[in-house]
Amino acid sequence: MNAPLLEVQNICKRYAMRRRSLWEKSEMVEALRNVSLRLTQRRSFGLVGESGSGKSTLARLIMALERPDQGRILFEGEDLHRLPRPILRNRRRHFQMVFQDPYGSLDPRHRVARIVGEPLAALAGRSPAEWLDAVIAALQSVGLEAADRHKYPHEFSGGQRQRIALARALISRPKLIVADEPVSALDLPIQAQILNLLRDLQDHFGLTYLLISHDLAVVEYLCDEVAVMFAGKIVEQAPPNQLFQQPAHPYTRRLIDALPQMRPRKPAREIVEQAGLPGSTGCPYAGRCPHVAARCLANDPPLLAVTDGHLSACHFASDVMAQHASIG
Amino acid sequence: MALLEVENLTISLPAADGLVEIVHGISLRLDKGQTLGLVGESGSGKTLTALAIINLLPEQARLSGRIAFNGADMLPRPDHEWCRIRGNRIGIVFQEPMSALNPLQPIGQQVAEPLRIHTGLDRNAARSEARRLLDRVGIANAAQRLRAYPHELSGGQRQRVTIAMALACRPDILIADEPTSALDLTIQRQILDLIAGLVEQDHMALMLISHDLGVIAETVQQTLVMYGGRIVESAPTPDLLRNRAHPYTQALFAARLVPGGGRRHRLPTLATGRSRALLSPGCPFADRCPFEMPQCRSAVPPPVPVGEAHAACCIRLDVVRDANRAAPA
Amino acid sequence: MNPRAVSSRRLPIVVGGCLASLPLLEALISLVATPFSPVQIDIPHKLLLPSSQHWLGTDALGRDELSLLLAGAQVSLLVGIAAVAIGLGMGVALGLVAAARKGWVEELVMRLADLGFAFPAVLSAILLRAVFGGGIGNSILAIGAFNIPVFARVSRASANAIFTRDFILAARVAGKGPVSIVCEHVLPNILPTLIVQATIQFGLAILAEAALSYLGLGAQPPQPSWGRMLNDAQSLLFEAPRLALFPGIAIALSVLGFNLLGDGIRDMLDPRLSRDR
Repeated sequence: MNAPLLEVQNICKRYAMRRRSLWEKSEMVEALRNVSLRLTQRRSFGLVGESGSGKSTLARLIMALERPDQGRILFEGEDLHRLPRPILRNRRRHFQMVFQDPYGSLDPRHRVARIVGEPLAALAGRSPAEWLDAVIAALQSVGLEAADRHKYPHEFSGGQRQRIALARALISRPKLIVADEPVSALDLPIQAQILNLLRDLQDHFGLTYLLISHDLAVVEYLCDEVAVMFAGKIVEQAPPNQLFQQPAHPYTRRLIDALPQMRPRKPAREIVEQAGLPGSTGCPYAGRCPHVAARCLANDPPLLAVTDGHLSACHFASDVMAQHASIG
Repeated sequence: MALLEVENLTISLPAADGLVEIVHGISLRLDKGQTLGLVGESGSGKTLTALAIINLLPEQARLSGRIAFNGADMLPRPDHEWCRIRGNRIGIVFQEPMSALNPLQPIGQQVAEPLRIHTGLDRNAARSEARRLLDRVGIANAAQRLRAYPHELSGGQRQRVTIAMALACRPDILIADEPTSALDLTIQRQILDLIAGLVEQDHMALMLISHDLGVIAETVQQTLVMYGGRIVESAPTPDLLRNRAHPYTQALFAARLVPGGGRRHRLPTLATGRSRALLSPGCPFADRCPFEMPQCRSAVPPPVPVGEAHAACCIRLDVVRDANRAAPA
Repeated sequence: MNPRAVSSRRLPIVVGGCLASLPLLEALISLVATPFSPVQIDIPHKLLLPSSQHWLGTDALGRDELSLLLAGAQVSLLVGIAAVAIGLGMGVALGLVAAARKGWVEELVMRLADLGFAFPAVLSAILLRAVFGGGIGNSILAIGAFNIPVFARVSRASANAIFTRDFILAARVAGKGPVSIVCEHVLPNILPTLIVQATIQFGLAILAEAALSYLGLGAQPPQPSWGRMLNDAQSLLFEAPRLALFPGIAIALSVLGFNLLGDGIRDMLDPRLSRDR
């Protein structure tokens, strides 16, 4: 069980920004810079980052919805983006996705049965009876009823729609499910329900999750390994408890500090916004980093192991680690 | 005399078969320099309550009760009197900064607008005041930024601009409805600090609305928990954190994932509620309450004192408290 | 149901529907029978005022006005339906291809659409007459050609909005090909917009047909048509203004009816879609 389920190797992806005028050259934004990671079966992986970190882009590349500019994505050893179309289509049954917006990810004009069965419909060779059985089984495994298959999405609440989306993702019995902010749009008590469901499904079906979230706590609840992304780069990677107790990158520290705590807090004195986008050389976090030194502006720190199983892309990783008191 | 006093506010909206009461019997009080939080999930009526206080509900809405600003009952007053208060004595910050800003106007103009309307400053004076405000909310290069359009700014910057607009006329009250929900985590932290700092500096009153308990817990002195259009618990925030009396408040706290808490066992959950239209008379939480009894559905529970300035609307508080003691959350 | 709320929202549709069905009714009736033959010239009885025999009077050649109106509706309807059908069929196809392919395909289609808009329908009608001679076919082709860019633009814009939605991504993740996605997901979701646009274009087509017939480029005599009735009435404007009034009102009511219908359908569909929460 040690062969990686998914391997991302040195992925780069650039997008052209909207040009201001016809005469300016379009600026390129580096959405992903040299990102690599490995997923092993049954060890769920979390990607944490804010907007602009590249986590959603990475998800789209992994789902073969877009092509990387450089690098490879190997699913069970096969380079997804080199496969001929029909074979790629066939492989899709093994990796599915759940999206953030429960209201946008279901076609309002289709009934639930058709929505949930869509991945099967795209693959050939199933009789209508088999198809129906699979749909009902999928609905029941997410806590909905067989009768719900006749209804339309607008008849359901946000949490229920996410269940429908989950049923759709499960129906082809995938090995990997990429979940992009699966609970952010839901109320707190419903979040808990869906998170429990995700846990149960993982155990029951032997799934592997790639969970993308801005919420550290959600990622910690479901994942065995967490990577923190900033400006298109993985800046730290470790098992969640290690990440929380001993963050080894200034950005991770900042994320942890930003979490609301359940006690009154004195507002910080420094309120000026953080200006500056990452430059093209050097560490992308240099513009905002309290530890920044000349070295940081010149060299982009590579992702290296600080301790066993704990990686960080910072020239001063060990200092950062030592500094931070555990928040338990 | 309280700065803002709301008594028994009820909001009804038209539905397919007549008016439906969405918000019932809200009473609250805000004094100068006080901070109040309204916490509840989507559909609990908290945004409607905030909109009602500044009378920005759709025309078909029907309000009853009393909304008094500095002792004067505002509800029966005509709209132009409300206009004099909105943006002037009460500043509002909404959740989505992009929809609060006019995409076709530079932000300098938009910040200057309340100044020109309410304080009658001329264009130049308003402009330099706008620059000062942008500076105050922490926007770098404020002088140049005056000419920027909203789409040229980041989400955090836009929210700072809406805060500047809300504070332009030095209002007595700032109402912030989910001011940080649409923002990244690190920016959320900055914006909350900004709001809390400004409120403190100007000795304003703050009404903060959020579904996020952590945000409320950190920022406000007094908390009101809303469910199904009613206030189900009200307490000073430290008391609420220590002692959750109402079953819904308990469930809310229990559902919170504590980061750094490790991979715990299952989260405690609530059953899914039914839609509002099917609510029976009685406690709005009855459908989902683990302590529910038939009597809960016959009448709306009145507020029961639980501690100093702490009240919860539940008829089974003692049972709830014992259960809480037996299995601390 | 609160009756007041219902009627105010439904008003445009009801009124629009009634007015829009007038030409349909008129055409249907005229297919069966008209009080008098619309082509029968009857000079001794020319320019009669409305009476119990001729409800709307007669025109300069003694033809019964009412029969002319009823029969004229046939042409308007035929041209309207055919022209909108052409526009829908080809325009939507082009618009969907443009939205789905993006890149240079989209640019090409949109520039062609711009050309189509720029080219006046009247001019193309004149050209067609020069090539093919007169007739309703010219009107249909000219107006239809003008409708193509309209529907191409509308369907491209709506389709673009649908393409950004997550359920399209989900369909791609499921392995659906681009054609199935367009047919199964995009088309059903842009249908309401297309329906509304079609009703509006129908009204405009009636107006355009009247203009073309007025200029003599469309329906040829003795085929009755509202536009030509206007032309015939022109020289007698001061003697018998009613001859211009009746077809004019018929045209105006039809166009108004279809516009209201389109507006009403749009309003009715909108809140239902946005109530989708």
